[in-house]
Order: sequence, then structure tokens, then C-alpha cells
Amino acid sequence: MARISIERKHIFVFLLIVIATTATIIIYKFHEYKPLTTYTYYVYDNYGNGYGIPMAFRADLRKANNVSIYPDIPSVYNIIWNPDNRNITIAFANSSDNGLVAVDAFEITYKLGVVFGVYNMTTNFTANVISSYDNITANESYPVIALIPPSMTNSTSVLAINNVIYIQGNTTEGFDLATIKFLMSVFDIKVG
Amino acid sequence: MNKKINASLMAALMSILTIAVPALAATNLSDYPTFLLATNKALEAYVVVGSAALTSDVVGAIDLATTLAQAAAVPVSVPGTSADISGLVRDGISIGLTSTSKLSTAAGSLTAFPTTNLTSLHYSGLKQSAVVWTGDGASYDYREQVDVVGGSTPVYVRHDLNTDKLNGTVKLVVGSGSIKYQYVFNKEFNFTVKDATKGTIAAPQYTYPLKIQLLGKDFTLVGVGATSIKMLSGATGTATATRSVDYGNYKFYAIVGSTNAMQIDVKDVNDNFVETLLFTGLSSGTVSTKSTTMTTPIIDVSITAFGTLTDGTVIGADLVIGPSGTTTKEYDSTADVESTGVASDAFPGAPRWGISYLPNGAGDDRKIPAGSIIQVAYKPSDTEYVKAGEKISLPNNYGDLKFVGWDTNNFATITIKPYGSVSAYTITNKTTLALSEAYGFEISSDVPGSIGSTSGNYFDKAYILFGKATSANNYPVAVGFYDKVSGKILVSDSAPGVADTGEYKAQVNASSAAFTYNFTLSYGGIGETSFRISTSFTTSAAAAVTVDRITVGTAGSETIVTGFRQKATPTWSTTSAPQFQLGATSGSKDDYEVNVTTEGTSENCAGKTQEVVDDSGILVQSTSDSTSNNALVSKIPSKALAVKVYFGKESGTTTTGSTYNQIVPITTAVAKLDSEITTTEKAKNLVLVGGPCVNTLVANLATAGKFDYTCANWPGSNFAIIKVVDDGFTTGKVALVVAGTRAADTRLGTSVLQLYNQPAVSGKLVGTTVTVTGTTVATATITAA
Repeated sequence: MARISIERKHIFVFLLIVIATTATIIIYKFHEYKPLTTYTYYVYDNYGNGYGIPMAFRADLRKANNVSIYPDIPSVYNIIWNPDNRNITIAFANSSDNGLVAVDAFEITYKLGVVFGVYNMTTNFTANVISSYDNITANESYPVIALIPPSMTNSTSVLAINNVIYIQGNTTEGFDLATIKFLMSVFDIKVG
Repeated sequence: MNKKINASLMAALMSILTIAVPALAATNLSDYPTFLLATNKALEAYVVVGSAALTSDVVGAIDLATTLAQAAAVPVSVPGTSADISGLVRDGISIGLTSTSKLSTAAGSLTAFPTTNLTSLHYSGLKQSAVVWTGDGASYDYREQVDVVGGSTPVYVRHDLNTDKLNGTVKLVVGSGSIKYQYVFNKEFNFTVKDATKGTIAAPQYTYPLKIQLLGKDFTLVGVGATSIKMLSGATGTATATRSVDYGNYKFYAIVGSTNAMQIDVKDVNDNFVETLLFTGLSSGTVSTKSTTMTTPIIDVSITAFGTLTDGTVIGADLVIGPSGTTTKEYDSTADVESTGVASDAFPGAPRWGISYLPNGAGDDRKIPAGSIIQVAYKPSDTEYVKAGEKISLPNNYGDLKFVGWDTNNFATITIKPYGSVSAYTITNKTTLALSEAYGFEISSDVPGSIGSTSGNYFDKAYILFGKATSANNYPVAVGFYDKVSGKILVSDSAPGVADTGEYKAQVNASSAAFTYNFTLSYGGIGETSFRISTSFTTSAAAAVTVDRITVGTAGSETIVTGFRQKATPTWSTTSAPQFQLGATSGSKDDYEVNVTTEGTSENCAGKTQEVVDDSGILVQSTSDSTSNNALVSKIPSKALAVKVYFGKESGTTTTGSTYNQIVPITTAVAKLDSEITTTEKAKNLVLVGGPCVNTLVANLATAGKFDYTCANWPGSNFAIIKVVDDGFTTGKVALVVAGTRAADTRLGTSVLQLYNQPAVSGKLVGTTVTVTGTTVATATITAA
């Protein structure tokens, strides 16, 4: 049987390669991008005691943070938290994306509803099927959130115009992200 | 070995039972939405919508989100503290429908105070006992009682609007002698048993007096006349050179004495000497009194008995100490609290309570007949008006008469106001406009479901709307109700063209035609008592509306009358509907714009700043605000309004608790498409929106025989089905299916779940499956399948 001899310097090189590979993997894992889908939202009770509540979302909040918003976050925030806000209408048009619209409409209504409950707000929610996204009218007491799914838009954004908030996404993920961007704006969620 | 086998069998049996028991208890729809929530109220379910959902499924999901969000908030109570009351508590006392209504006057069939005196049976602080007289060693029975309902001036319960200091507010009216404490001799007492020469007013019996307590305070009865008695009162005790009898800020020591003299030293609370009182001429069986000169106030000290040794040591001196002129008093029937000094009959420490002696039958020297009374009556300088939360206390903290408040804390605020311009839609098709630019009246409540229709359905808001004339002499009037689901006012499908005499009444009036409708008012639709808003309008040939009647109160005898009327302009025409205001002028006070009935008389209630209680038990809020707001605001109680009063004592103080909502964790994104559902999601409860044709998970349940219908065999009828499936996809987890034939049916099903706790639905969600048919939740037929 032939005898294999390994020189000491070969062993040293092999060990160097192993160490470098391991270090690379560790560094990669450390810096690997992880979706952020849960955020701890802080509310305050009647006595000023704040407590954090984990709140989960359908998609990555960091990605959602990049969705454009017009004119700005405070405009969206102020529409929803207007003290005269009595009823929010969720408006949408019939489309092949009804399922997706339902899911995101539920996310909006449920999360807003829960937080409204904490602050004893009596704002109601109403669903409304519309034939067109044109000429939607709203006011401070009766704002409208118009959901525009991928089959009906080519862009992903949140727009606030005359007490109507348009949430639109050109893909399923984009629509989810726009919805989350809206909720981040309303709940003042900031991610790095 | 056998033991091991037995143990194994028992363990196996326990395991089977552990698994089997939960399976035996089928989930019931009546527990919705609790069975979808974790113990901390967090939603423990996914809401799943089919990828190929219909618009109705979207709307349904939003309906469900609203309900589940409300259910997810956890109310956290900050408890108040309630005082414990010992004594008689009654909360069925009439609010006072006449000027002579008393605490014993019950509201309807409720329970009020007894018509007799309050005794130890009602309040244990009142005694029924006996005292022993040293004169004969016998016991003399007595009882204490309090009278608040008898005599010529009992405590009245009143709320007359035109009586000063009442002004429509329910108050207890307490005049002179309205509250009387009485010490009743159950057994005759006679001083002559011991000594026939003593025990009169002129010749008191100081050696063998009768010691009693009035309102817990010591009194010493020493003489009895035909119409009066003589008593000593004050701080009593036996003093020596080292043991004091204390009164106020002073101490009284018996320093030295002889057979007919006694030195009493007065010291302050720090034992600093103040002065000496020297008594001379003392003899057994007499009482000697001296007044201080250096104390503030001046104090009388009476020696009723004493004992000394030959060296002057005082064995004891029995002292009665009190304010000047009060330690020895003769009391007749007058209970004089206006005089001062010796003439005053005021109870010690309670200047408005007067003591009197009321012999039973003909009185006699030395003798108190059985049934005779020593009375302590409240005699305020002016009639007092005790409102809710206030009380009158008997002297010596012996008990309280307190007006606690109402028999209920639950009131619904009802607002009636002119309303418009507004649009109304038809019931069946909520997008079809029936009336536009209509005006009329809105009736709203801050407690959901408090306004009832003629069909017994309850709403948050109701309307009487006047539309623009459809043509000459065709003036549409319609009753509408607010539909929370659509956010619209709904009126009859036939409005404005054809008459409808049903729940959603509508008609097209020609000249001089009347339109009437009665709304029921009930707290949350479940109040123990109900009221009515009765309305009547007549259209005239001049295209005007006469508001014949908008009244509120007990059905059939509404006693709150409003003065709503049509504005001068615009007139009712094909281009404008009539508008309304409260009173002759809008925004300013006009007489009789609101009338209420108090104590049986209808009174002008315009411009009042206070709450006024109507005879029907409705609390009319500030009509001054009504004037400025052009609205009548009133509060209806959840039960027949009655007054709550107690006699006795309460311990501790009452504080009002509060509640706030605490948010629960939202640990997952709760809404999913059916295409996103994996075994991970199936391990939770699922709410499936849509039928087997649009939701693959519902189709899966049908294939597994757990849901009644597949897409292929869905029935031809128009209906919605709500079904809870135990162990739908995972053992121990439920699948709740909401599906309908048409879009409107699915919507109706989710609306029923949204309004699960409202009167129209409550009690009808039972079993594991219900079917729903109809057009609105209010009129839907909900049937357990």
C-alpha cells in the first residue's frame, strides 16, 4: 500500500482555508437580510403607562418603508386621526384581485379597529364597492381609503388627496407593501 | 405485574378521557366570537378569503374585521370602592308624582320605605333593650325608633318644576319635625316605687335616678311631671383626687371633701391648673351645680352624689359636666331649639335637634306611662332640600338618612333635532336613491339599539324625512332608519312615490293629509321599561307642514311636549323640502318650546339650565342648551325610574371606578388568501369567507363531509349559511364558514356576525349552523339548521 505523505505546510494551508470559509459564512449570516414583519407598537393607558404590543404584518416593514407616499406621512396620519373622523369607508372596485383586496382591507380594518378601541374612538368602518376610482368624495368626518389592486394600477404608492387615501400596488407584494406603508404612517412606525 | 397492568390501563383510560372530553363539547355559534379568541382576547384565528373572491367577500371580510377588532380590546377595570351600608336601603321609592309623595310611596310595584316607624328590625343601630333602675333592681324595656313618614310633616319626595329650590330636580323635602328619633318606654316607670316623695320636677330623685341613653348619649332622668320630665346630661363619671372626669379641653378632679363640701380642681389637657370650684352645703339626695369662670366656654359642673373619708380623702364624686345651662333641663312637648340657655331643648351638641316628652295618654307626677316617648326631632331653621348624594345625620353620628341616587345607573341619551339636507336610499337596494336634499328630524341615541320601530327592531338613529314635492300636491314623507352596515339612511322601497304602511312607513301626502308614527325607546333595546316618541304631522294646502305632535314619555300618555315647527322658508315645493326649528325662533328661547309634566302639571320648561325630571321618569337635559342647539336632549332610564334612599350608616367611601381598553397582541397577520394557507395556518382556528366555489378551504371541508354543500350541489335558493366546524382541519381547532348564494347573501351573513350582540341577532345565533335569509339584518330570518 502506497503511503501518502502530507507536508506540514499543506496542513497549514488547509486549516487557513477552513478558517477563512467559516469566517465568511459567519459574517454573511450576520449581515444576511432578514425580513422585519413584526413591530412592537406602544400605546398608553389612561394613567400614562405605556406598554408595547407586538403587531405582525403580511410583509417586510423595511421594504414597505420604501414605498413612496404623497404628499407626505403627516398628511395620511392627520386624515385618520382627525378628531372629527366618524366613519372610514373602505372603497374598492370589482376586479380579479378581490381576494387580495379582502385580505388587505381586513388588515387595515382590524388593526385600525383594535387601536381605535384602545383610545375609545367610535370611528366606524364601512365597505363600499365602487365602479370607478375617479371622483371619490370625502371629508374630514367621512374619509375614504381606496384600495387599488395590481390588476388596476401600474404603480405602488400611497396617496392622500382631499381626505381620500389611495393605496395601490402593481404586484401582490407591492399591494401588501403599500398597505403596510399606510399602516406604518398611521401608527407612526419607523424602521431603520 | 398486575398492578403495572392496572396502572397502564388507568393511564390509557385517562388519556382517552383527556382527548375525548373536549371533543364532546361542540362549539356553539352563540359563543361567537369568543371561540376565536385566546384567553388574553388576542385573535387566535386566520381569516381566509378565496383567491377568486367576490366583492361581497371583500365587504364581508371588512365586516368581520370590525367585529373582531372590537372583541380584541380587553377592558381593564380600575375598580371603585363602594361603601357598605348597614340599615334599610330601598330603591323603589317614587320620584314624587304629587306634592305629598313620601319615602313610603312606591314607584309602581317597586318597594319603598315601610309606612311604619323604622326600628331595630330595619337598622341594628336602633336598640330594643332594657335598663335596670337602681331604685328597685327591675328591668325597664324600651325601644328606639325613627319616624320619617308619619306626622303632619313627613319627609316628602318632590320634583315640581315651579317650586323654588326644587326646580324640577328630585329632592327630599325635610321640614321641621320631618325626622324624629324616639325612645319609647315599653313598660311603665314609676319613681314612687322607691320613694313616694321624690321623682317630680320640683322634687327630683337624685339618689336613685333612671339612667338612659338617647341617640347613644347618657341622660339621667330625675323627675317626671304630667307634661314634662327633668334630666341631667353631659359628661358623667366619678372623680377623685387622681382620677378626672373630662369634658372638652378640661379635666375635673375631686381634690378634697367633707360631709357637706367638696373642692373640684379644673386643669387643662396638659394638666396645668386652671381654677378651683368650691362646693358647700352639699347633702345626700340633692344636686349642686357651679359654673366655671376661667374656661372657654363656661362649663357647668353638677355633683349628684359623693363620698369622703374623715381625713378629707374623696372616695368619689359623681359629676355631670356640660355647657352652661345644659346639665339639668326640664323638657316638655315643645322641643324648643330657638331659645338659648336653660330654655333651650336642644340636644347636646346638635342645636337643631330638639328634645321633647310625649306621655302616652294623661301623664302623671313621678310616673311615665307605658308607650310614652322621649323624642328628638330635627328642626331646621328653614325647610331643607336634600338632593342625590346628600344626607341628614342624626346627632351623635347615630344614623343617616341619605338620598343615594337613582335605582339605575344606565341611561340612554336621546336627541331629537331638525335634520337635513340628507339623502336616503331604499332598503332592498341600498344604492338606489329614494330621497335627496330631504329635511326633517333625526332621533339618535348614544346607546346603540335604543330606538325601536313599529316592528320591534331597534336602531341607533331614526328619521322622519320630508322630500321635495314630486308634483303639485304630492308631498313625500318617509320614516327612515340608519343602517350601520351601509352607513346610509334607508327608507321604504316605495318612497317617495307610493305609500307604505309598514315599519318603514312612507306616503305621499296630498293637502291636509296626516302622517303619524310612533317610535319606541328602550335602553339598548333591552330596557326593563320603555317609552315612546309619538309624532304627527299634517300637510296643508299651502304646501306647509304643521307639526301636530312630537312628544316623549310613557306610551299613550307622553308628557314631554316639544314645540318643533316649520321654518317660514323655504316653502315645500318641487325644488325644496320643508325645514324645521324648535320654537317660534331658531336658536333663542321661546315659551313652551318644551313642556314637561311634574307632579301632574304640565309646565313651561323653556330655557332651563338644570336637568328636569318628568313624571314619566325621563330626565330632560338643559333646555337652555336645547334652545341654542334647536334640539331636545333627554335621558331615558333602563328601568322604571325610582329613588334610592337608605337609613342607617355606611362605612368607607364610595369612589367611581373606571374602565379603559387594553390592546391585545396581534401576533400574526390575520388575513390570508386561501392559496397562502399551509399546515401551519391550519393549526389555528380559521374563519372562511365565501362558499366552496370561491374558497378552496370551504371546498376541502365539503369534500371531507364537514360542510353541507359542494360547489356543484349548492342549493338554488338565496340564503347565507354560517357554520362552525369543530376539528375542521386540526383537532381542537374550529373552522367558521360564512357563505352565501349571491353577493348580497354573503354580505348578510357577515353582517349578522358583525351585529352578533345586537337585539336583531342576539339569541338567534345558536347551535353549529344557522341559515340567514332576507334583505337587512333588522328584518332577516335567522334559523338554526
